[in-house]
Amino acid sequence: MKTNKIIKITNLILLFFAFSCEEFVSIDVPDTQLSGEQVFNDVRTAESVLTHVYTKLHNSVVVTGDSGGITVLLGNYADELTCYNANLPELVFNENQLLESTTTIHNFWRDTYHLIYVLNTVIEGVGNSTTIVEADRDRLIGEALFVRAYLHFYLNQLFGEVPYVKSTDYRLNTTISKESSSTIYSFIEQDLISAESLLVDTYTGDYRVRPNRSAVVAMQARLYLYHGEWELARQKATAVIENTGLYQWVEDLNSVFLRNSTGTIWQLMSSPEGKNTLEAKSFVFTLVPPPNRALAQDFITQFETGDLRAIDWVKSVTNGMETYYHPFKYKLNVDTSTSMEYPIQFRLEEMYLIRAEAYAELGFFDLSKMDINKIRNRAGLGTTAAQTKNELITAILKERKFEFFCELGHRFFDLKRRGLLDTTLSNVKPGWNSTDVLFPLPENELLLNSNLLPQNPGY
Amino acid sequence: MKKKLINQRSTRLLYGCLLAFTSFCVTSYASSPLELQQTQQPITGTVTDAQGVVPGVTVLVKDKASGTLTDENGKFSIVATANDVLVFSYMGYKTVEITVANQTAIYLQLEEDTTQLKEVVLNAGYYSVKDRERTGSISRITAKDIETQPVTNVLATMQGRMAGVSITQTSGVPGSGFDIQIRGRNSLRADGNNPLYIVDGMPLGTESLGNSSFLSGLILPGSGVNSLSILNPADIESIEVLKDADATAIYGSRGANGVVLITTKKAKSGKTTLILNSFSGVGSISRRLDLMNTEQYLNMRRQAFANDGITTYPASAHDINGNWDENRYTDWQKELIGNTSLHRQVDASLSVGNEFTNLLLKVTNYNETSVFHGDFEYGKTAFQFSGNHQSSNKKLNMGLSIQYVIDKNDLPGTDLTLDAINLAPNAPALYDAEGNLNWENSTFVNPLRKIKEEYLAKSNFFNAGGTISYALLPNLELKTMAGFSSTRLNETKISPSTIYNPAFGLDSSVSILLQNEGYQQSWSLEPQMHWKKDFGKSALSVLVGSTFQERNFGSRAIEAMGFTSNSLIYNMAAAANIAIYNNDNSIYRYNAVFGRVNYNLHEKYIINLTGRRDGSSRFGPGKQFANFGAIGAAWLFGKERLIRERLSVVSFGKLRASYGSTGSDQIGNYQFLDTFSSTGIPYQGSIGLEPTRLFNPDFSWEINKKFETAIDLGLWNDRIFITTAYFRNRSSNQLVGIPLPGTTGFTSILSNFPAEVENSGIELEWHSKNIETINFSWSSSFNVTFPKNELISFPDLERSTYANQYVVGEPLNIRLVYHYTGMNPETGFYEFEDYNNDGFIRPGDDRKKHIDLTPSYFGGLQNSLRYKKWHFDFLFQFTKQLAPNFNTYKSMPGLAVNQSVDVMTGTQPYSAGFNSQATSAYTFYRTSDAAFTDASFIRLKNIALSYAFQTRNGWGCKVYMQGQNVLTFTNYKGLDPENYSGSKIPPLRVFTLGTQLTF
Repeated sequence: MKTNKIIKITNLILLFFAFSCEEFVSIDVPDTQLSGEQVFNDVRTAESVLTHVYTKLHNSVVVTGDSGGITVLLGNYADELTCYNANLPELVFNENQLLESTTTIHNFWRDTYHLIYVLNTVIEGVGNSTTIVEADRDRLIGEALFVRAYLHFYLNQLFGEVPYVKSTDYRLNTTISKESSSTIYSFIEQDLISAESLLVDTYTGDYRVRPNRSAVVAMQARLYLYHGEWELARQKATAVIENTGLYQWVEDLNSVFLRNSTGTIWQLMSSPEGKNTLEAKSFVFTLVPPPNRALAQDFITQFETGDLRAIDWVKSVTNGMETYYHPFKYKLNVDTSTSMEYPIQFRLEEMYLIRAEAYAELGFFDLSKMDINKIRNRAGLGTTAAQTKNELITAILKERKFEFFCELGHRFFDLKRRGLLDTTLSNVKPGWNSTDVLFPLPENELLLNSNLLPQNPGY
Repeated sequence: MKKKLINQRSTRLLYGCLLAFTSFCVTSYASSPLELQQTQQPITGTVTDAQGVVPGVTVLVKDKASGTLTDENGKFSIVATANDVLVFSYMGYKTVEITVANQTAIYLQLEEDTTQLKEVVLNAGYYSVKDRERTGSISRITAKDIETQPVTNVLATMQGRMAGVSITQTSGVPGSGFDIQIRGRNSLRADGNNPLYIVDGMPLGTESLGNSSFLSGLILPGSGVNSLSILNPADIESIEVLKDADATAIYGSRGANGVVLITTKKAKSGKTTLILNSFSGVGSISRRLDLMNTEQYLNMRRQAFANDGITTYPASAHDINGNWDENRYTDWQKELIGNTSLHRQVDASLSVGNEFTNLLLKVTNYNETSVFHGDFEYGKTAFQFSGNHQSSNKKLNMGLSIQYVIDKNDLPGTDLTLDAINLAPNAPALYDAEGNLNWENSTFVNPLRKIKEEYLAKSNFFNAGGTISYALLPNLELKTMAGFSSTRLNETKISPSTIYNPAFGLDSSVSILLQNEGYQQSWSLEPQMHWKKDFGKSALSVLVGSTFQERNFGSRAIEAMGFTSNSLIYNMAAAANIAIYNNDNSIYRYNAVFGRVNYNLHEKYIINLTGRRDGSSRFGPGKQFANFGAIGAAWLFGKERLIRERLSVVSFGKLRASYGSTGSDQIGNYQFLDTFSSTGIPYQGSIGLEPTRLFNPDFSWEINKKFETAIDLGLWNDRIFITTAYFRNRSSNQLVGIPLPGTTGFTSILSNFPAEVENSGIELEWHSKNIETINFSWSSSFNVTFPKNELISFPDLERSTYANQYVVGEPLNIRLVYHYTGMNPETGFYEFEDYNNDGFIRPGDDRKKHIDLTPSYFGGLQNSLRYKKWHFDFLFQFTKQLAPNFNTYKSMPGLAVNQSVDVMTGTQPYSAGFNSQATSAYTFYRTSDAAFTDASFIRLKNIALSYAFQTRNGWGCKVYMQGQNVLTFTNYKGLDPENYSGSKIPPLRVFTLGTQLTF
């Protein structure tokens, strides 16, 4: 009787505790996520990782038209824009009062390196994948290498010596050192050469929202221009210009920035369908005075008389007493039933002006003038009067100023590479210092990785 | 139960009223009053105990207002009728009731009550323990403390009342959270310091359900809505906090940060009671910054430009370039965050039952409007059910508690505090003549756009916890605790096109609705076996059990854009585009076996062993299981003959100590996996994927070793009760998100921290009954904690990413800052110590000054006073600490931002931002020791005044006045010394008036 009871109890107790097991606490990958291995076993998911980078570039990182991108920030930093809203983070850019603790700078740095990390996961993941076919593999890795070079190019231009990150290993990247500008240049060059060999000229999908081989070549042209490799710059620019099967000159200034423009070499997609550009959202206003930012009044007066770009790409807003102007290259700050405009990264006009500059430097003045006039004529201006090399360079820089104003910081980079920042900006920008040529390295990054020291001069 | 007799003078029954007040006016459902008019007769007597006469014994006529005390000879005299019952009570003795009948002289010997303290039984989670015999460290508050406070968050009720428990209110926004640290900061992860919360046996998932990055981040600090913020404080009977290893090791991995046990109200046996309660009141922000007026402000601005050598004011300087009226003045703190909030609560509870079954039903409705400009409201409706049953043979016991809370929080999208302290005092009016938002010709970024971005959170919380136990054998009880809880949140935030300046020419095609739905659902099952054996001189009790727990989380954030009209903004069908930003599901599983062995010899020597083996799905394969355990011992030395005979002033004495280990798995789910998540944004038609984190498959359990020793001392029959405890917790192998430089692509990686951290401290608790007479009593409780935190070792600190954050031998909570040395006599600018004498001030080289933000001490002092039917309670909370002052969130004086009047003296010359030397000096200043000031404060946290009486027909009635955050004494240079934030409204000062009726 009693033993029976004890057996019963023992059984009950065993029942209670028999369940503890490892299986209970082993869980699978959540059904809303994918493991890294799964992602790079399927070309569609691998593609989604890469295209996410383009979305980020469109929406918030480096080349975005939003207020955290170089279009707005460098427009303020140089002489293109005036900031009318003291609450905006770009005010310190407008006043050239950056500090190593400026949050915008830190975000800029982190967001850019985050995208570089994502690109490296694509390069490594697709490279190790056994299931993605070669054509897809080349395309994905080619694009990733290209964008990696593109981002490091801007980092180098803005911050000077920076780390060139080629791996996803956080142990290496935690203590990574800065590279000299010449090393960065050669890394960019190598990445671009690899990308060029891996990519083809056919665009993936609709429009030109994925970089193709010509986009890489266009980037090479820009890289060589910035480094004074005139012959290489000429070759690369010419290669794109002569690719007339893909790229045709757009005569109508109002069509240049449409999403189906034939002069576009690479654009970013505004998504979902119906969205237009953040550039338009940043710049367009309808009542004065401007709520956030507008073209600097000085800038507007410098357009040559008769320059159609001052009419088609600039919009004036007035209340009868005061008139303000905003960039109007991208015109739609609202959604439309189908998207009309996509932000452009490379367009044919840049190739002409790169070649013009290369010709001038190489001594082919007539050829140079032809390319300059191509731009001027479309803007309703007569042929250029420049004759000598120096006159031609000045003419080209002026043409670049009015062709590429408020576009991806072209103006600032042109002044910088030609050493004209101090002479140009100190007159119009009371806060300008020679050391403002480089942004400060973010203070928190220096604290986390002492290999990034020293800080850039002036900060 | 003796039947209650009520005569016509019953309204003056003091004792009844006191009883009614202290125990929620629980009175019996009286039968119709008997009209007994008996003759009064004088009664005299003497009260003695084993040693002799006892003076000061309270003698009361039960249920009547008359009473007396024994004199120095133990004698008393009183008038009563034959039917009356006399009640004799004295601290430390058993209360005796004697029916008068025909006696005229009563001689009574009181018996010492050794069980009096013993009978305070504490909930230790899996078992309960008599306060007198516990070996661990447990603090508690009860409904009595909770109901004096007009607050909506459970943690608020504990502030200042428990030693070793530091609670700070992060914002005065209704529904916002509190930070809690039990015995210091154990983890470096900001979200890794939460204790384990258990409501009626069911672990409460306190992870946020909200989406703070898209929706709630700008208004609700921290992680937004979670189950804890929804729980209704009025439903709580008691809160116990387990602090040391002895008490927490049985919770194993979940006990490292302490355990908070919340017990909801249960039916009182055998009585039918209806309680109706209602209060209403007003609130306002408790502190403000003293800001410049228009004249002072404009002088500062003009001077700043003059100093910078700028004569033409820039286009963006609307405050002085002529765009704005320079004679206007608005007190923006009053305008934006200075409204009076209205607070109102109605609750009713009904409790019924008999010997075997008891039921309680309670409903609470609470509303609170906001202090922000505009109409916003927080509302909470809570239902509570509790039932328990015992079988007639007393072998089977069942209990079930259910809470259901509906919570609705309507708030502005952004906290306006920062605008209130930053806006120029001559900024234009908020509305134009037509009542539309005024943008002052595009020169004014109207702060009210932020309140048009309305945030609305609707949540439901359901929690059910039940227990079934069966006494299989006289010594053996089988018990199962089971629970289920579910929390759902639906939050929305709108951005109608009207938040934009009309100058952008935008219409409803840019209007946005953000919606996030979050849920959490969990179940828990804990079968246990309790065995007890009394050997006469000693007793042994053994407990073994196991835990199975699963928790599912999910969230989905949707963005709907482009509406046909702003009036349809809550209708997703009217949106042109809908994008799903995020859709996450995750699962957490937890499994454990645990046990406790308690041996008690002579009720003097007690040893308590607890242990747990834990498995958690939050760790990778091979790392899931870990063992934790503790030993606790107590010696009730007060019972030793030597003490009893030689030191009779010591009525109770106990030495206790404990040592053990606990862990923490508060790291979020799936951290060991390399995963990619959807971004919700399409590119070329397919949705993007991004890496979720840097992953580390190899991290494992962190270990927290806790040591405590304490002495509990009762003096003069426990009229004074003192507890002093010393604790020392060491954590190693901590799981932290190690900060990483941006070049790694992420900001941190979860890994085991190579350092050892020690939290130690001394806690002191004092309870005393200072005065106790029939008409007047006064009791006090005091607690104070002296915490200490130290980074003991950190191998290779210099080469780690923590090199500029921590110093070995210093607390974790330090800031490395510049040392401000004064102003340069020539330039007038701030100067700082150049530690390495290289001529430059650099963050890595010269931020060498340590500022310790750990409080030196904190605590609370509570006093309860009673005079006849009046009760008055008040609580002071105090903290001695350093904190960042307004300099850390204010920009440089001279910029277009209003400033504290303090900056008008002793600061460097104003600059409008064009003098880079001034700007950089000011930037250093903000991160120097000058930006930290004493933020010690004494706060009259709570006052409660009540008057309780009984009506003729025996109904209890109480009217009361309560106040929260009534007064703050501090020299702090900033808004609030508790949350020391510049962007969140300070805690509200609330006064309420209420009535409680008991039938």
